[in-house]
Amino acid sequence: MGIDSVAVIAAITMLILLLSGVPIAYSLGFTAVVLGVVAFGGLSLDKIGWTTYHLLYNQSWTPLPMFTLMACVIAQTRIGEDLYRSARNWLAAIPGGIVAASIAGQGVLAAALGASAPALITVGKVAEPELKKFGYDMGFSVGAILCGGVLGPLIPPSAIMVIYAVVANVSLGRLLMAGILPGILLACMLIGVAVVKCARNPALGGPAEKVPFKIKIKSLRNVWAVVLIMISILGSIYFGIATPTEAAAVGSVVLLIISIVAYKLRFKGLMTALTEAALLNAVLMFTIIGANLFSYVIGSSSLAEMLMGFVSNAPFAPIFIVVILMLVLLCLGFFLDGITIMLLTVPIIVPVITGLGFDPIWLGVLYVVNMEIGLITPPMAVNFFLARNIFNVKTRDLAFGMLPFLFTLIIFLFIVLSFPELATWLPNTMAGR
Amino acid sequence: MFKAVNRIVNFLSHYTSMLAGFLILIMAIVTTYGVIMRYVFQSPEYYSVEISLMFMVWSFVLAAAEVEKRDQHIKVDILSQLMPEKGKYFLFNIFTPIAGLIFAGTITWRSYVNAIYSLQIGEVSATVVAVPLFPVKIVVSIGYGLLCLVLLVRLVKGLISLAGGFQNINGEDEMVTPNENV
Repeated sequence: MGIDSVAVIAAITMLILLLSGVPIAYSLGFTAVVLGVVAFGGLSLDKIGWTTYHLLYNQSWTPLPMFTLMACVIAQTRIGEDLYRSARNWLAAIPGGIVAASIAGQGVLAAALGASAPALITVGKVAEPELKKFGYDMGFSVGAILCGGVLGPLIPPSAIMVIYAVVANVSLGRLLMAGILPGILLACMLIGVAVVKCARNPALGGPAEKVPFKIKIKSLRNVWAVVLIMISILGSIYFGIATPTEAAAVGSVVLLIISIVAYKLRFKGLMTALTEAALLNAVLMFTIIGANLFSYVIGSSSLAEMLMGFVSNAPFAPIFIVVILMLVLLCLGFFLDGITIMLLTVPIIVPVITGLGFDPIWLGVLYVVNMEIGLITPPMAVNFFLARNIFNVKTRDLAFGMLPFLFTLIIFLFIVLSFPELATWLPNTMAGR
Repeated sequence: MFKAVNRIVNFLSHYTSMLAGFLILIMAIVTTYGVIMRYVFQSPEYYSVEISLMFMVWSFVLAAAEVEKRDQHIKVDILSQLMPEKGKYFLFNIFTPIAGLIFAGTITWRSYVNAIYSLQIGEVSATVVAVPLFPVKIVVSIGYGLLCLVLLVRLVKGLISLAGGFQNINGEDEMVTPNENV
């Protein structure tokens, strides 16, 4: 059997297994092992044997377990709740204040967490009773908070960005910097939409209550921990003092000390955080290893070259190819998990897009936003169902409630698409360029 | 007999995943130490990088079995929602462990061969410290081996239940159902 036909069979088998609910890592790994042996015989067994070691014995990956460690430590403390409360105290008096505070809380929390689901859980837990207390429309409010989850991986540090940076072979430090400005812009856009909608229709959620200025100032006291970590991580990367690995390591050690001293994290909580971090990290690594084995079967065929030839001879302006790519990725996001999409498409897409003269860092930011939209659009929408279960709202209410914010996200995607400088300006001013 | 094996496998995967968490913590501490030595004491050391690379590999393979035991894998289950109960049962408790065993079993076997070869030729890392690579590689094989044991336990459970006419089909025992973690 020719290698091209093996590659086609591999792709189809893998997709059937994956969509049936076989764990993604096994769908990829099993297909690669079986069809690798069919195509290359015993040679492929050697590759399968050394992949885990060769892939992971690599400094590019080391920020990943540390970012997951930070997320798991924060989940064991009250840091997230405190963040939400101070945002709430400042924003409670404006229309839709509780929703705005939840988005702002997620934004700041994102700077220490690096993933959307934990931020959603942390903020959701404390925001839910307040939303009910002040009579907010739940579908609308949860929809806003759900879309605010996109800020998690966009504002550094970000586990997803580590994966993109390694697979696309770009500088992680630059990619992390590239997420900052779009992240701030998106937070403002989402809060803006929530406030305007609530001001026009107070039934969605009016002003909650006036908080005395003294309490506002006092509640800022709880934010310093995260701000300190954020500055230490981003500052050291931006000024070229530390590599992302070193910054992540120092950040997680500082966070641990703060958690133990100020937030009374004790042995049991620490053990839970450590085990959870190891598991979360292993879940990602599993998929990465499966995808790496699978990509080598596909990569050995001429499918990628065919695609490249097709794209470079296409009769459109290069930017249209990026637009089409984004639309294809959005559609894939309805049915597939974001990390899988990234692992399987980035090795093929990035050379094509870079060949057209675009910055792979900018493409990385677009990928992250696109993937997160996939996480909230059913049928395959982990965060959507997570939010539905945490807040106990009806699927229909949530789907309609999130529409204005989903629309905002898509507009945001097109803004970043139209103005690449938004992503590339900050990394281009970095030290050591 | 089967229960004893089950208990030992659970015990091992629980503690190796905890160990994996500790390794991540040590990675963070050692790297921070390296940064402090370089900037505060102006005396760069060279082993913190080696340690974190070694622990990077170990922290994954040692947690792999527990991920399977807790069924925390990333999954997409659009098609399985349309399947009948028995089909779902077969897919999750018999086919999935077999697919996993073929994948993880091959890696266990080949990475073992790889590690032994590394020992025979006395392979060391291409850095100043020249770390022997055999221990790094053999743990890969051990981690995947443990994963195979967890998968085997799951397969045997599935087969026992299949032989008894799907007694545990509604998952009162420890059967894996698709949406357990969602």
